Amino acid sequence: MNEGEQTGLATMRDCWITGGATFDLAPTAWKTIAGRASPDEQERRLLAIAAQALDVALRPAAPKTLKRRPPLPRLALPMLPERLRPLLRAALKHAADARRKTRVVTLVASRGFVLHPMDWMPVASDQNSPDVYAPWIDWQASLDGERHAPQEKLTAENWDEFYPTARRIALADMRRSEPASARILVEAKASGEPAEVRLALVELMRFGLNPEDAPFLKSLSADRSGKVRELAGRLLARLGEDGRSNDGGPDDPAAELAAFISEGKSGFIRRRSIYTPAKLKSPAQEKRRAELFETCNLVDLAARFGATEPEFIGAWQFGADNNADILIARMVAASGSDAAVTHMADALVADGGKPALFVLHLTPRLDSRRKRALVRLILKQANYLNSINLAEGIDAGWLEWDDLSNGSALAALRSSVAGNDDAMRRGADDILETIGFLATAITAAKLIDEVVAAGMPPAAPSLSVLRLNAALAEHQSKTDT
Amino acid sequence: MLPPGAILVDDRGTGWWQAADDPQGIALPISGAVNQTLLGLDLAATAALWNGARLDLLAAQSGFGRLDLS
Repeated sequence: MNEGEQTGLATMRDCWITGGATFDLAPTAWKTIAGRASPDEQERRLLAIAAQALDVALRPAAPKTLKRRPPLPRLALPMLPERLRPLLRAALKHAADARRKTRVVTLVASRGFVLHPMDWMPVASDQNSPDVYAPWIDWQASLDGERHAPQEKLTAENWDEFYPTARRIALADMRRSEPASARILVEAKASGEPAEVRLALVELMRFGLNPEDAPFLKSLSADRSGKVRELAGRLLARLGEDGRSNDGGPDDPAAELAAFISEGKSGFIRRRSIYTPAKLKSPAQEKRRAELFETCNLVDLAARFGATEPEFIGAWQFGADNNADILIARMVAASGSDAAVTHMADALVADGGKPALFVLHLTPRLDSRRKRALVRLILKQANYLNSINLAEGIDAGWLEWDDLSNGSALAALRSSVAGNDDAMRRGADDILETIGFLATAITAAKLIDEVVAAGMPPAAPSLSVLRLNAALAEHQSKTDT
Repeated sequence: MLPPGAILVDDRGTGWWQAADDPQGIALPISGAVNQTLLGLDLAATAALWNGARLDLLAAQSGFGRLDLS
């Protein structure tokens, strides 16, 4: 129907609205159909034709370039049972941000299920979801859908046939089992990739990092990207090697940072070194010290004092300057050797108290056992229970009832729930959400009973993750504890 | 009730329902924004309301089970 016909039809419609006859206004072809009848029948026939014309001829025409997305891949785990989806949606709704939603997704994956794609989908840039979602992340990122994630092992020849996330996960797996093969692949392929991808590939070297990686990491000191050079330097530092060229000189940042630290002696018989943050005189000094902690490597700083990394960390006086403690913890996490990281974590967790919370900065570098020990300590102490929400990369579904009931955590939670302090209640809500992720199904069910008995409404949204966890009980996978 | 089909998008991002066995045939425009995940799903059957100009999706059956689209 062209514009003239549409205008004519509008005129006919206006005429009907005002009660007039439209036969004379109708197109010639319509008059042929309606013309042999009585005037009333003519109008009825024209009305029928006009209605059809409006319904069919004015329907938007589909453009010729309609695009179809490739089919959403099936994942390796079964879909969450339909009956549990309302609980899941409640838990996702209560999860305030992407990090918390990812925890819900991780909990479900730990019990052997994936989510329905209409309930949750990872975004294209997602790097925190369980590996089982890699096909969906690549589906989100793909525009053409021409590549298909192959089932065979990643090689230099089939490199381009892998979607980025599938490739990243394959490389991470390879780094754990065959680190040298993975390094050779990264070495061969990274240089041809843009800086952002190179950075992500080099970042994978942290898995199974070993001294054989040092020559490749040193070669990256000539990389075009400053971020890649910095990352390679950090990884080299973890190996106890210095990737910098200006060590020892007056412009060495490690020397400048060392000036912010006082060395003293402790003990009457066996005098041993201790390191304490120097008193700062201005915010500018504070800012400069923070910058230096971020850019320097632990091995270089320890070397300034003639100490090994574990010796330096062991002699650091935690508790003297909270900001400096946070900065050194971050430095250890970023550039400390594995020995330094585990030494710091073990020592602080063994000593307990507030300094143990600095270990939260190390969790990305800690093994599962140490992370669990830290969580158990936080629950046992209960003074800083809210800090449990800061723990990153912890496994889902392992926290036993004894871990909660042996310390003060349960009593503190009950007290917060039963009290009238809104801030304490909100804090308890957050803790319950985190424990909902960490707990076994049995622990989750018991904890729901406890806090409901303490006065929390049974349908409270803050119980949603615990309820989902408990409902997944019969499907609990055989993970380690 | 619509037969097997899929949701496609045009250059402006508008969603269209199209029958699976008739890619050159009728396509019905969908009212409102379309969930991007739907674009990757084959719809075995779709329940929708046609308002004379646009399709309001209500529910569909897919390989991932029943979809509530209302």
